[in-house]
Amino acid sequence: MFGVMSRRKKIEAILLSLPAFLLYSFIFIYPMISVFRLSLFKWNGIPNSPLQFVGIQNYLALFADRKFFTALTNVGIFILSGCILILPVAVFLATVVQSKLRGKRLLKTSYFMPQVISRTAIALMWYFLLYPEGGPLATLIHGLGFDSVNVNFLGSQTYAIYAITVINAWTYAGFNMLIFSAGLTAIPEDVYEAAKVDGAKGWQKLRYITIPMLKSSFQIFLLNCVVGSITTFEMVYVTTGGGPGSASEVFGTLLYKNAFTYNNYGYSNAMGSFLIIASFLASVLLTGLFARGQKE
Amino acid sequence: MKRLKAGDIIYRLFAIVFFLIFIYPIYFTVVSSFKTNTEIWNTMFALPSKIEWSNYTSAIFDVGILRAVLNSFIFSFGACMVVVVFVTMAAYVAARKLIRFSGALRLYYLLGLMIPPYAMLIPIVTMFTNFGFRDKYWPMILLYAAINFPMSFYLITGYIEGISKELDEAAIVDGCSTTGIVFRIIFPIASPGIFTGAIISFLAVYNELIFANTLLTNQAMKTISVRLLGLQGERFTSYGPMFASIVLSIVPILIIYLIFQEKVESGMAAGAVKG
Repeated sequence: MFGVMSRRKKIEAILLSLPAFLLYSFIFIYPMISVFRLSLFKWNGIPNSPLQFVGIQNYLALFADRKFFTALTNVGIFILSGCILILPVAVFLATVVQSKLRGKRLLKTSYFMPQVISRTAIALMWYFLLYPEGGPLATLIHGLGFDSVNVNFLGSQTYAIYAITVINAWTYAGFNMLIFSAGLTAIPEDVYEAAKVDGAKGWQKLRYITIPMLKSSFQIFLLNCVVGSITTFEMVYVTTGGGPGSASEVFGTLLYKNAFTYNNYGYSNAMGSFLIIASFLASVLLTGLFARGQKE
Repeated sequence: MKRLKAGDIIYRLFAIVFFLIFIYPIYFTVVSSFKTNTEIWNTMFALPSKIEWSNYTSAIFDVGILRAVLNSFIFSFGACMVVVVFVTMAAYVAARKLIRFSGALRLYYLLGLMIPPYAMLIPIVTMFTNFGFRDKYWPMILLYAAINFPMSFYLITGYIEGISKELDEAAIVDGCSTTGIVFRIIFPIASPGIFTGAIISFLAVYNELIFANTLLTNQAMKTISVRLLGLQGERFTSYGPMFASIVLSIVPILIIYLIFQEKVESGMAAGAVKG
């Protein structure tokens, strides 16, 4: 009697987890396996046209492509900009929202707001803010007397990628602020009280208490920064599309363009496989590294 | 009153400067949406001298932005509903380890958090083309549900694990089926956690661009992100309608954010700590 009941319960449990399992397997995992398989074929994207097995040739083409290295460099710039631009700002904003300042709720809302806005809307807003002929930033820079500065940032081979990292920082600072503000809440108040008794000044408290105790927040930040930079796509796609030329190309834009502009699906799938492996490895390795650091 | 030290003043000044940096692009967009073309560029920091409603009528009737807002809502709401039902059932089974390989299953789902969905763009586009799924609501909703499933699963499983087992054990003694427990007991108790998962999915789908841009080609099906992207390429005699379109497409999501602020923030913060 009990055995029958328990078998029925087991079947019920399996049935309950089945819809999610099937949905995820068919629309997430199956395409993932397809990417790996298709990366070994040459294909022009036309339905019913034959696939031509080429082995690892797509990967060789990928790693021989100069644009791949432009993208790699740009991802590096994204990671650095995260550490130089987003990190200090996010920590500062976190202290603001955790402080006893009046109006901090309003401040927090404004800092976080970009995070919920469509990236395309953000790109459009900044397109106008950075508009070279009479846009607010151009007017500001020229108004301050820097007439010779080339203000066409998004249209410049050299500066486009940096302009994107600034827009990116504007978008994601508020999100990263949350990581650090959660970390700050976890620091018990009496640690600061004890430091105060010992005569610690503001900077000393920051240096010897706050920063060391935010260690896991820094790790979460770094993980998100690295993986987010490797997989960054939308922000570049909507601002410059990887241009001018291929100056601001990232992995995502290369994947997209090779498929839908050049009909070079083999290359795109090789890029897809590379992205899957790279972001998976980055997540696993960094998580493992941090876990080991925790033990020691 | 205590006198402020120089350091405190600088600190507050910075807090306000950042406030202005984050708010100005939004302010600029909103005020420009009420201005004429010449006024947009001549008075970039001022309020409009006269409110130009024609920008909005143009955004609604020429651009058709409300249709895009409606589409974004349909996709977001649909995906949210699918995610909520599927995830809650699966998360309960996983949290209580009711089937073998529950641990392996969790790792399997966690994989979805570490991989960018757009890496699978080509097989998914091919699948949609082969099955005739392009420009249809349901396939798109299921795709969005699948993409957002791992994050919600992670959030909701964590929440259910925090619920005492005594409640479901009592229900089992009373002869309640597992399905009954999920929908009558877990669903109401875990609703804060489920809601957080749902709202995170909602935001993600509302703003999604890549899949919508490749899979939706029919103008009547396009979402806000796709429609706004299209505006970038179009030549306008006046920029006002463009700003009005941005405002109309971000206002609904900002309202949702402002109403459920705590949920959105806590959900995103929890999502950052995955792994």
